[in-house]
Amino acid sequence: MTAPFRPPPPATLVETAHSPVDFPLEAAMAGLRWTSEIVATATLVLLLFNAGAVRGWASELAPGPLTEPAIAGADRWHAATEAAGLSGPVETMRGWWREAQAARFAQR
Amino acid sequence: MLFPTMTFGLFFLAIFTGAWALKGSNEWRKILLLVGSWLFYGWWDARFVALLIASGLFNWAVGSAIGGAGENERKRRLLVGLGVAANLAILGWFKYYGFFMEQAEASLRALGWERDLPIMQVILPVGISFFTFQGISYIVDVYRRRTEVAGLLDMTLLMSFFPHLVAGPIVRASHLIPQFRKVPELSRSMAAMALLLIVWGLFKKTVIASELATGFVDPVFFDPAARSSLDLMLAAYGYAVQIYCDFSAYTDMAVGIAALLGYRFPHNFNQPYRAASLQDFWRRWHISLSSWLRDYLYIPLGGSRHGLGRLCLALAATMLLGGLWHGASWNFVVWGALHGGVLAAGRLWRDFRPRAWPPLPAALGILLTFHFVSATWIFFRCKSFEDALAYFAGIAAGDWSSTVLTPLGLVLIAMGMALHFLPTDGTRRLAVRARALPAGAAGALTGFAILAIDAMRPEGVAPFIYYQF
Repeated sequence: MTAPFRPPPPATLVETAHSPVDFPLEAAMAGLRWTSEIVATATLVLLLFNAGAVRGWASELAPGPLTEPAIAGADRWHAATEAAGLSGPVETMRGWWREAQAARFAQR
Repeated sequence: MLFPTMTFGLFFLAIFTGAWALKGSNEWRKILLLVGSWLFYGWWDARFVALLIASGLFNWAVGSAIGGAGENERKRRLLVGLGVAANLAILGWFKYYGFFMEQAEASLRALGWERDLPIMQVILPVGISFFTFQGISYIVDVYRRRTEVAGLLDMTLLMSFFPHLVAGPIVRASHLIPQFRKVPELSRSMAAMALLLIVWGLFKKTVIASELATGFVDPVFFDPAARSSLDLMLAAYGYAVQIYCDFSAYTDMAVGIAALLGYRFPHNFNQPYRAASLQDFWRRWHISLSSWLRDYLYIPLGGSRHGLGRLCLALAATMLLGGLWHGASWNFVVWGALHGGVLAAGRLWRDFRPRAWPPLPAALGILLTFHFVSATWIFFRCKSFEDALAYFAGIAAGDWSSTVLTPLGLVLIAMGMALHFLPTDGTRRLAVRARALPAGAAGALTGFAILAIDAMRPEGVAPFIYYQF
């Protein structure tokens, strides 16, 4: 006969089971569609404004029959978004960051 | 496959789409997650996927045998003993073989036996300490009747599930297996919190931790003899911030990624540098490991049930072994011993402090605890014990004349510290606001936040510090 299952004592359960994504006291709103739309929109924003990162990733792929179209496509996409001025915001922010990195305390 | 990379982003998009497309069948959904997890692990080194699968099968078989032994306590004890020993043997082989052979060779040489022992270079599989501990906790919990025997698919998925596979949090069977039993729900609150945690984790890892590491901490630790005492001191603070931002970022992203798939992972950090004592620090830092060490090591060693002497011994032994868990090096042993020693001393002080003496003010407690933790991180960061001693000697030299720390580095260190004094429910409140946003607006905000982070990140991303453990 199998011995009865005993649940863990409360202290252990509480400490190891609490999750940052728990919202126990609120009525749950179904979120799958909402989340999928967020993921799709964020992906689109990144594709449009950060094509340089896509090109950088593609350029590191090992050349081969499967990857070459992806590499060529990433290059074309980057050129198109750059021509449309979409890479401007990220380049501007990168410039500000480089200035912050280059700043030094005044030497006595 | 590192979380903050485009390769992982594409992998996750495929898994997210596939997992929710398969919500009609929980079994197929879990099979997809399992195969995806093996692909994730195999990206690093495909040979070790077999080890991961074998470990899952072994722990499942031992758990089932313990469950099948019913009331035969002798057989159950034997099985749990064998299971734990086998898990520790696998961990010992991969992680400690080289270290112990080197120590044995040095000891033999000291005794006058000049022999070359067969020391092999054993490659350390990423995340082995995490999934081995997970396997041990499963079979011990089945033995203690604190968790039910899991099915093969659930058990292998528990050990292989990619969000926690390589650097935790250590998720226990009693927490995750019940979630695997049905197709999870994804609420707006959960998704909003998950996205915030992922973006926040990206910021902490790729901006704060990476910038501090490449711009200041790594160069100072690389050649401490060439640095001023002020630089050494500031780099110790910088490393304290870096390791917190690096590891808590991994955890935040792991929790967020699991949540987008519908699963809840436990809390692993709670503003650790605002701890007013070392005991308090260990309740806030890597909570899933410290509670694991408490439940599977400290309490079995006697805990507080057999008097003060035994308690101090149990504390010291737990922290010593906890230190060794991090890596096969004397520095980790020293780090664990220091923490164990101060924890035991703190307990003695609590019991024997003259009643007339006032307790330590909280602010002073926080300051002392932070400085002790930061000082011991030097052992954690240096390659050898001698390097760590040289680092301390450099600080003690008293050259406070100059620093190479930049204004940006100073701001990042200050920011890393300030995070510890923000309201503890800040992210939760933000998630409550975010869940009311239309999807388009929330998506655009998420996209532009990632874009801004990407503009600040250095070229390439270093692996997370805890990958090596």
